[in-house]
Amino acid sequence: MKSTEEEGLDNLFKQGLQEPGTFADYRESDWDALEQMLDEREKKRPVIFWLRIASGIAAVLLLAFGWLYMQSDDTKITKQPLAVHKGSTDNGITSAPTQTNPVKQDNTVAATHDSKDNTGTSGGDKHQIAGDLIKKPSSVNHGHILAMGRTYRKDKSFFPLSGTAARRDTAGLVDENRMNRGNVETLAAVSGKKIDAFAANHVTDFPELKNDEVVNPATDLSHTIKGINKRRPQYALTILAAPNINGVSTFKEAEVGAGFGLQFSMSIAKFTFSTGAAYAKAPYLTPFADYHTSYPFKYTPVDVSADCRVLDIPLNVDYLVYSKARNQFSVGSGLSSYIMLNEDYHYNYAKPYNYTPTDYSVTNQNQHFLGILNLQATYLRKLNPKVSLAVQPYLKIPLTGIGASQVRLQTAGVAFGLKWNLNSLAKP
Amino acid sequence: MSEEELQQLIEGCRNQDRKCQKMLYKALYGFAMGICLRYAGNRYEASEILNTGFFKVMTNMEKYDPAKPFKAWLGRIMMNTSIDYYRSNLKVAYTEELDQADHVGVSESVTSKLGYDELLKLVQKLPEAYRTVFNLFAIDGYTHEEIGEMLGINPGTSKSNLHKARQKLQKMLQSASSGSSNAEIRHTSTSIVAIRQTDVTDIYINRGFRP
Repeated sequence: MKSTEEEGLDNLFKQGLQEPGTFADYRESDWDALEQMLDEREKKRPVIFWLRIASGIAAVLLLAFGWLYMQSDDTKITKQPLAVHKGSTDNGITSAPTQTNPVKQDNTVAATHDSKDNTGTSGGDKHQIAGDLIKKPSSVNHGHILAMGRTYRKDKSFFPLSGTAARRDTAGLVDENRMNRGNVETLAAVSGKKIDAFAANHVTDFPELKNDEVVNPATDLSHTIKGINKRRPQYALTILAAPNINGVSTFKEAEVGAGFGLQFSMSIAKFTFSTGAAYAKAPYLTPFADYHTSYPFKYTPVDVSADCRVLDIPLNVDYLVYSKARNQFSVGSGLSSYIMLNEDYHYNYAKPYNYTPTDYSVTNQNQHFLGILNLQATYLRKLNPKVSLAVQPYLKIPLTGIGASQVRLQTAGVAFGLKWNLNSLAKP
Repeated sequence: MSEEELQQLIEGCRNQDRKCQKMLYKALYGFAMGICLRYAGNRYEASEILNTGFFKVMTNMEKYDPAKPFKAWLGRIMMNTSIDYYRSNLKVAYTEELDQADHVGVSESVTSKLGYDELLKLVQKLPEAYRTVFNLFAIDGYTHEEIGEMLGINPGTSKSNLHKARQKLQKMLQSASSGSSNAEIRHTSTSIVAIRQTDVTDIYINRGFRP
C-alpha cells in the first residue's frame, strides 16, 4: 500500500470517527454502574481510615511500650537510702524490719543496713528488720529475699533489670520459687558494707533471716532476672527465605516456588506475635475443572499452568513448647492476607486449536484479606545473644478461592532465616 | 455546556457532590464513549473502560489542572484506561483471522458513504493489538516510538501491527465496496457494509476474550 493510500485510509477513519454515533448515546445503566463503584468507595473509605488510625495507634503503643521496656534501669533508677533501725519485734518475729521509707508510703518497704554496723549481711541480731506493714511474717518458711542494690526503680518493677549491675552490687538470697510465681512482694537490699534501700510496691513477707540460707546470691538473682525477662517483650526482626511447593487442593502435581520476606515479632512469655511481608512466586498446575472462569471456552483446556506473584502479609502467633540451652521450638498459627501482584495463566489443550485463547494475565486485581490459614513450626538455634538461626516448616491453607481463577491454592515449604533480637540493642 | 458551567461541575465533583458527578458524566459521556469505543472490542467493553476512566476522574479530580482544557485531560485518561485494559490482556492470543469479511473489490464511492457506526464496527473487528496501534497512530497521532513506550512493545512491532491493521481494514473496505455479490449485505439509506451480520455476542467471543 502506498503512502498516500495509507494516509487516505487513516484520514477516512480519523474523520469518520470524530463524532460519536448512536453507539455513544448515554445510558442510564452505565451511570448506575459508576454510581455503585463510587458508593462502594465511599463505604470503604471510613473503614480504611479507621484501619489506618487503629494501625497508627497500635504502632505508637507498641513503640512506646517497647521503648519503656527497653530502657535500662539507668534512666529511672535513683538512690533511695532508707533507714531501718533496730526496732522492736512484731508478731514475735525476732528479726523483722522496721521500715521508714521516705519515698513510698504505706505500701512500700525497704531495708537498709544498720548505719552503726558495717559488718555486712549477717542479718540476725545485727540487722533487726521489722516492718509495720508486715502482713504474714510467719507464713513463709524460706521465702527470704535479700537482694542487694544501691538503686531501685521507682516504678512497678523493683528488681534491677540489668543483670550485670545486679550481680555487681548484690549479695543475698532470693527465693526462686516465689520469684517465678510472681508473687514476691518484698525485697530487701543489702550491700557489702552498707545496705541501701530497695523498694517494693507491697510489703508482705519478712521471714526470719538465717545466715546459712544466704548462699550463692548471684545465681539466684540471675534466675530472678530471667523470670522478669520472661515478662518483658522481646522484639525481633527475622529475614526469611523459603523454597515451597504449590498445589491446588492437593500436592500431587505440586510445582516449586520460592519466597522471601521480613518479619517483625514480639515475644511475651511463651507467646510470640509476628507480622511482616513476604514476596512469593507461586507457580502451580491445576486441572481445568478446578479453574473458575466465566469465559465460554469453545474448546476446553486440559489444564492450566499458572504463575502468580504474591505479597503475603501474615499475622501469626506462636507458642514456645520447648526451650533448652540454645534451642527453642515453637508451634503456631495465624492468618495471612494475599495481595496478588501478578497472575499469568496458560491454557494447555489436548491439541492445538485455532481461535482459542492460550494465555491470560491479571495484574493487581485480587486481594484476599486474612483469607489464608497459616500453620507453622519453628526451630530456633541461638548463634549468639543477638542472632538466632530459624528453620520454619509451614503450611498455608486457603480459606477462600485465590486469584482470578479462584482456586484452592495451598502452599507448603520450609523457611530458613536469621532472627535478630532487637532488645539486645538496648542493653548497656 | 459553557466553560463556566463545566468549571462549576468540576468544583462540585471535587466536593464529591453526586449530582454534579452525574451531570458531568452525562455531559461528557458521548465524548468519552467515542474514545472508548474505538479502543474497545465492543460496546460492553467500552462501557467498562468508560466507567473505569470516569471513576479515576471522579476520585482524582484534585489532580486536574484548571489551566488546561478539561476535555483533553478526560480524553487522555480514557485513552490511558483503554491502554491499561489492553495491556491487562496483552498475552491473550489472537490467532483468528478476519474470515468474517468477504473479500471483494474496493470502491471509493462506497467507502465515502460509510458512517461512524460502520467505521467503528470495522475498527472493532480488528484484533486488539492492531486496533490499539491503529487508534494511537492514525487517529490520536502518536509516533511509533511513543506507542512502543505506551504499550511496552518495540517501535518495529508497532509499525508491523499498524501495517497489518491497515491491510485488514483495506480488505474489509474492499468487501464493503463489492457488497452486491454478497448475500449478507445490509443496505441502508446511508451506508453499505459488507460485514456479515455478526451479533455482538459473536464479536465478544472472538475479540474480547475475558476469562
